[in-house]
Parts: sequence; structure tokens; C-alpha cells
Amino acid sequence: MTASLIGFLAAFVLIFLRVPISVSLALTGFGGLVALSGWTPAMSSLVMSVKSSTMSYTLSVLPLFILMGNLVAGAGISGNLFKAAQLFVGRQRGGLAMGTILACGGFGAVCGSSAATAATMARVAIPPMRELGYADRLTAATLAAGGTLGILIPPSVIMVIYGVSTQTHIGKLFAAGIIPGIIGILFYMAAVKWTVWRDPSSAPVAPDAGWADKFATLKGLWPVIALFSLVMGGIYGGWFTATEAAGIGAAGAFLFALTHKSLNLKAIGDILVDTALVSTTLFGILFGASMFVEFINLTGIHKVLEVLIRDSGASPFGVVLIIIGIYIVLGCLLESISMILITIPIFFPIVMALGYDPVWFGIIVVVAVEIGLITPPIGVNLFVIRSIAPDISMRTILSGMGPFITVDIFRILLLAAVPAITIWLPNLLF
Amino acid sequence: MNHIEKLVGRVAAFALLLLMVVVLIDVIGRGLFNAPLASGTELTEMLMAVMAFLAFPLLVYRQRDITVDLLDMLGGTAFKKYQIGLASLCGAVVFGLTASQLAVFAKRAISNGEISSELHFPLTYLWWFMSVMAALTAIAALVVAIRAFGTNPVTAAETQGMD
Repeated sequence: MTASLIGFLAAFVLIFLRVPISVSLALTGFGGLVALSGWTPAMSSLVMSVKSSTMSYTLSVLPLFILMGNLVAGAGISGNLFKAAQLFVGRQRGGLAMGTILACGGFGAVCGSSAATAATMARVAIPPMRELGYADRLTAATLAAGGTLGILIPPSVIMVIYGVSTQTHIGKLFAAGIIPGIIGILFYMAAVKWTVWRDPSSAPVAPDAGWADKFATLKGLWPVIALFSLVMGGIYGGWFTATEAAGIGAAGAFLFALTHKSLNLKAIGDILVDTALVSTTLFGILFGASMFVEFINLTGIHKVLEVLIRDSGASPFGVVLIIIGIYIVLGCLLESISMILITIPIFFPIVMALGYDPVWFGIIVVVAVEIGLITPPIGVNLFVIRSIAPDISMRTILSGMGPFITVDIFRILLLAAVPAITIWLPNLLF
Repeated sequence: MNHIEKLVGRVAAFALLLLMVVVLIDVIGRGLFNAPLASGTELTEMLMAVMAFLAFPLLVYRQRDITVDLLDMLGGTAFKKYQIGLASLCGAVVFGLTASQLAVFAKRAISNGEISSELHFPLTYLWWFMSVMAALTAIAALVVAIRAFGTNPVTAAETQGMD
């Protein structure tokens, strides 16, 4: 118990001193292993961890899905999504913001990362929203919140990481994200409506587009629909595994990029290089976390916590609420992937012992992570919006977040209280 | 340095491209001709390792690894030097240790005659490659640490999380 507390403390100190998360976790994990089991086993663990976090067939799903998202983003499909979404909701007050939420959800169907979804959609949506006279705080908050849908609507990097570290079926996790994702879209739209109702001047009504324009923009959507159907249909039809689906999706996006006039070979090459680098930052975190977790497991803290919870007399739902609370607090302070990797070995066995469904818990974790992405001080999406629209201050962004964070809290409580919302679809499909 | 960086980045990108092609051939082969690529899994694993170990030194050199910059507002430029120095030294230790242990594995693989199960590829080459790249990563981290205190610090790349 003491050893694990020292370990967590040391890792946090290093992380807050701005040592990369991967290195902080690897180093404290290594130090802990040396202290508990000696130099030679610790050195072997180092190689085992780096091997399992890079030389892995299952993990190849990460670079492949990231590549698919990056290629689709590079080809400018996000602009088509943004225009098409306006057809459905654009003409009412706040319609442009609601359309943006819808487009974020659509982009989430080919992209597995929230930061990438927020960044891509922000580039296409912020200029027209500001041009129409939307208040900056509504524009920024819409994009930051909408971007979080990227990890809930499949494919999802976070679900893959959860699936790999808990041996949960990735296809089931993907399916389980769809209904909560749609609820997320509806709730965010409600948050927009609420903001506009409180302050109508924050969202002027957009002019109506002609029918010819409307049909033209719908045509631009086919790559997204085709890729999503190919990837998800393939997984649910039992034709291929998640890794194979990712490979097919990436190859489809690659083919599309090759034929798309807005991308030349150099641009495609740059996307490939960037994808390789970004994927490897993930592998680095996996490597560090795997060292750290090996050390934490050796301290036996999860057993201590399990006994503590069993003897506390708290109801299973109470325990889940406490875990959600811990995730929301941690999510404000930590980067999400490392947060999941170091907490899952502790929380997952507890939640399973209470008789909950692993797929359901995965979605709860993902939604908790989504909240962490838009809450200060370490809300990644807030920084993404800031980096794309540097003239919108953090204070302005935060002033618009309230309604979005509120509906997120409602959503996670709803999903926690009614597991059927989450597990109905995966149980139907598999 | 820029040329080497570009070249290494391109080789890593090429490994990723091959990875995609291997998965594609595997699925098409199995689906259409009922003949999956026998060595598909093994090739995927090797390409993953090649891509990652080519990328590690680039990430460390350009300080692209994900950090939490919560306390940045507290310190000035002098503080920043020590921050980069500490981060890079920690990185050098982790990758240096990993490189030395990977070399132990590589030597053992020679004496045991370890080969991969499908392609019969001598694994010692892969371990040596990983060891050398980890050592280069450690050296890149040391360069960043030393130059942070000089007049010409290594320029860090703009980063974006992948959450």
C-alpha cells in the first residue's frame, strides 16, 4: 500500500514537472520494480513492456484507424460534413452550432480521436460561425464538446486501449458506443438550444440554401458513409476482426485520398509520417503505463481496495458513482490514455466483482474521459480550440462550457443508471 | 540533422504503409481465395516494431511526447531550461536502460538461434535494430538536455494529443 502510494506520488511529481507521461510512468515503474523485486527482473520487465507495446498485432489497429481518420480529414471531407449537417438543422436559431455537433458526430464515425475531431471540425466550422455573428463562447464550446464524440462514436482509440487492457471484445465496445453517441449528439444540441434560449443574440439565424446546393453537398458525403459501412459492417458481419477492419478502412481512405484532387502525393506522405509519429507517442504511453502497472500490481493495492470496498457496505451503484467521480476528477488533471491504463487494473476487477458488464463499464470510462477532455485545467479539447483560434481566450471558451458539461454529467448518470442503453445493441449484434 | 530526420520519418511512414498492405493482402487472400497470408501476423508485429523504433528518436528529439503543462505558468525561461533538462535526462535513462537490455536479448537470440516461427527470420537482427534505435533515442535525449542550456536549444515541434 505504502509502496504504491509513493509510486503514484513520484509519477505525478514527474508528470507535473513536465517530464513526458510515457517516461514518467516508465521510470517510476522501473524504480518500483527494482525496489520490490530487484535489478534483473526490473530490466527484463523493461524489454517485455517495450516489446508488448510496440511488437503487437492487436495494437496495429491504432495506427491504421488513425491513418484512416487523418486521410479523410486531409481530403477535406470535414467541410462536406459541415455543409450537409446544415441541411437538417441549419435554419433555426442556433442551427449552425447544432449542425456542427451533428458533423462532429459524423466525423467521429471515421475518426477515433477526440482531439483530431475537434481540430478538424474547428478548422471548417469556426470561420463560418464567426462570420455569421455567433458568439465566440458558443462557437468554441460547441467545437470542444462536439469533438469529444470522436472517441465515443466508433472507431475509437480509447475503446481499443480499454479493450486491449481488459481483454474485452473491441467490436462489442464499438457497437456499444453508437447509442450513447447519439444521445451525446442530442444532449449537446439541447445544450446549444439552452445557450441560445438564454442569449438569442449569441446565435443569429443562417440564410436558407437552395435545393440544388443541398443535393450537391449530400453527394460529398459518400466517402464517410462508405468507409463507416465498410469498417463497421465488416466487423458486425463477422467478415473481419477490428485489426483487419482498420487495415481495410485505412486502405479505403488511402485509395480515396489518391483519387482526390485536393491531396497530392507529398501531402499523403506527410500524413503517413505524422500518423507514424502520433501512433508511436501512444505506444510510448502504453510502454510507460505497462511498466508502472506491473509495479502497482506487485504492491497489491487493488486487493486492499477490493477489501475496503467490500467492507464499506456501499451499494454496487454507489461504488460505480464513486469510480465515476474519481474519473472525472482525474480527467481534469491527467491525459486520458495514461489515466485509463493506470486506473483500469485497479477499478476493472472491482467493477467486475460487483457483477457489471465489461462492455458497459468501458463505455462509462469513455464518457468519463470525454468529460475530462472539456474540463479545466487539463482539458485537451480546450487547448485544441485555443491552438486553432488563438484569438479566443481560454476565459471565453470556459464561459461557454457550462451547459455542455452539465448535459455530459446527466448523460453519464443516465448511462450508469440504465446499462441497457449501452449493452442492448452489442448484445443484439454479437 | 533535418535531412536525417526526414529520411527516418519517411522510412517509418513506409513501414506503416506496408503494414496496411499486409493486412489488406491477408484479408483479401482469405476472403476471396481462402488463402490468408501465413506470415501476416508476424510481418505486422515486425513492421509495428520497426515503425515505432524509427519514430522514438524523432519524437524525443523534437519533444513531441505528450506532457502535462499545468505548471508552465509558474516558471520563467530559466525554469524552462531545467524542465527540458530533467525531462530529457529521464528519457535518456529509460531508453538507455532499454537499449542495454535489448542488446542482452539480441546476444541471447544469437546463441539460442531464435528464429521467427513462420518466416524463419533470425530474431537477433530485430533485437539489435531495436537496441540501436533505443540507444539513438537516449543520445537524442542527451543532446536535447545539453543544448537546452546552450545558446541554440533544439526546436520543439507543435504537438496535439491523441485522446
